[in-house]
Amino acid sequence: MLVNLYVNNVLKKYHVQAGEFLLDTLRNDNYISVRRGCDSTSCGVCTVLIEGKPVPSCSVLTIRLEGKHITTVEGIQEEAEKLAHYFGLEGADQCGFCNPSMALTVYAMKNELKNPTLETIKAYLVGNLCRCTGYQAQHIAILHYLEDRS
Amino acid sequence: MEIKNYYVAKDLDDALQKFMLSSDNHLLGGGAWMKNSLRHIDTAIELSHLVSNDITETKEFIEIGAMCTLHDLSIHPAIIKYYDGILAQASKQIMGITVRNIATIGGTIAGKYAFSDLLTPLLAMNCQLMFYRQGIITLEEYLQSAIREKDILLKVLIKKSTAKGYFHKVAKTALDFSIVNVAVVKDNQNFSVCVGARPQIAAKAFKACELLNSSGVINQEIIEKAAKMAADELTFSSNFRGQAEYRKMVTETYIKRGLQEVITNAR
Ligand SMILES: Cc1cc2nc3c(=O)[nH]c(=O)nc-3n(C[C@H](O)[C@H](O)[C@H](O)COP(=O)(O)OP(=O)(O)OC[C@H]3O[C@@H](n4cnc5c(N)ncnc54)[C@H](O)[C@@H]3O)c2cc1C
Repeated sequence: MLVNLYVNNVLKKYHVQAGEFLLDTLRNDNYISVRRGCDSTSCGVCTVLIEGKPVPSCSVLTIRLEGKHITTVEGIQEEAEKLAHYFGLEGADQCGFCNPSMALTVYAMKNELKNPTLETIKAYLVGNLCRCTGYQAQHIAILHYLEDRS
Repeated sequence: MEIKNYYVAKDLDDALQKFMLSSDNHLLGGGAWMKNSLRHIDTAIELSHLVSNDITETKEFIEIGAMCTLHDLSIHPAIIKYYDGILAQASKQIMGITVRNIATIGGTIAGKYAFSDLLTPLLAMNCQLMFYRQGIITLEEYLQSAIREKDILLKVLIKKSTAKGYFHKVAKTALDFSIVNVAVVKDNQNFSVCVGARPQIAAKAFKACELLNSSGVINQEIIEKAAKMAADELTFSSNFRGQAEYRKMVTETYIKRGLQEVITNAR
């Protein structure tokens, strides 16, 4: 079945099976920044934005998404670089596996919440697991990123 | 999970007919739990264009479309306002934002999940369900019915009220399922005390509610008696998250706190 998606604002046509998940569709098309982790909706590394909302791409059927806008980290490059700068300053990443999904969730949070506090940031990011950092440095980096109005 | 066919139903009648054709045909809510629980689906039936995802208010009710996501529930002003926002609080504590952006209230209710954090406050609020075929029934009736009649849930109806509410989820981590969860509602002099994830499905503590409803003035003694009564009348069992005895003990404590909170309204 043919599905038209706007991936990072570029129209893409995919021929998919009924049971194909968005994670596979994107990875098969070389969007490998979208990572496969637990594959059971729990770890958050497969996060992409659908119409601006963070969702687990491992659990969304591509066939349900006709005409939708999908954003991967490549689609928010400028913001992701800015966030990466603050992550670097705080030493907030090690293996980097969760970074694309983390950047997308932070980006969605920035658009959804006005002046989030540390507690609301933690609550928003609770589904994005990182096995390297212990989160503290990430939270500080995210606070600095949100303060940066440049 | 294997899905053979994807079917966009023409209307609700068409969706129900397709659904009834085979036990391997399933209605799609958010699809989040299905992905983890079903091995094989013959036909996945799309409902999102037929069933609302909106939350609307009438004079008497808050009406929640069955396709409404948990995130939308957790931030809607009416859900936050009524019953001290216990439904919003419960939604907010389920997984992360990504899961809450796809999981629906319809899939939650239809699934009758024993671990559910939403069913407990919904039951305490005495909500009603609007099905395509059966019409309107109470959640209480629905949860008690053993046979799962094939039907399409359209809306969840919550009566607007100035009731006080309390919800507490006991879990080991923010992402884990509840060891137990407790909801208490006080609507004028009517109490509703419900416990879920025991680990059986959410249930009302009828005897405790009766005691509270028939006691004119509720003092500390009645609160303690009702909390103990509730913990005694409900059944608890053990699994790797917690032992039956532990569940029973924390249930009694949180019911006590819940009752104190809805009575004194001290936050
Ligand atoms: C990783 C993970 C962790 C979770 N943790 C928790 C937790 O801690 N606490 C908690 O309370 N919940 C938890 N949940 C469950 C979640 O809150 C939802 O209850 C669950 O995902 C079902 O919603 P859904 O929209 O995904 O349903 P689906 O998976 O789409 O459907 C579930 C069932 O409902 C049926 N259905 C769907 N919509 C309708 C309808 N309108 N009418 C009739 N039948 C319908 C489907 O056919 C299917 O049988 C978790 C879910 C996941 C995936």
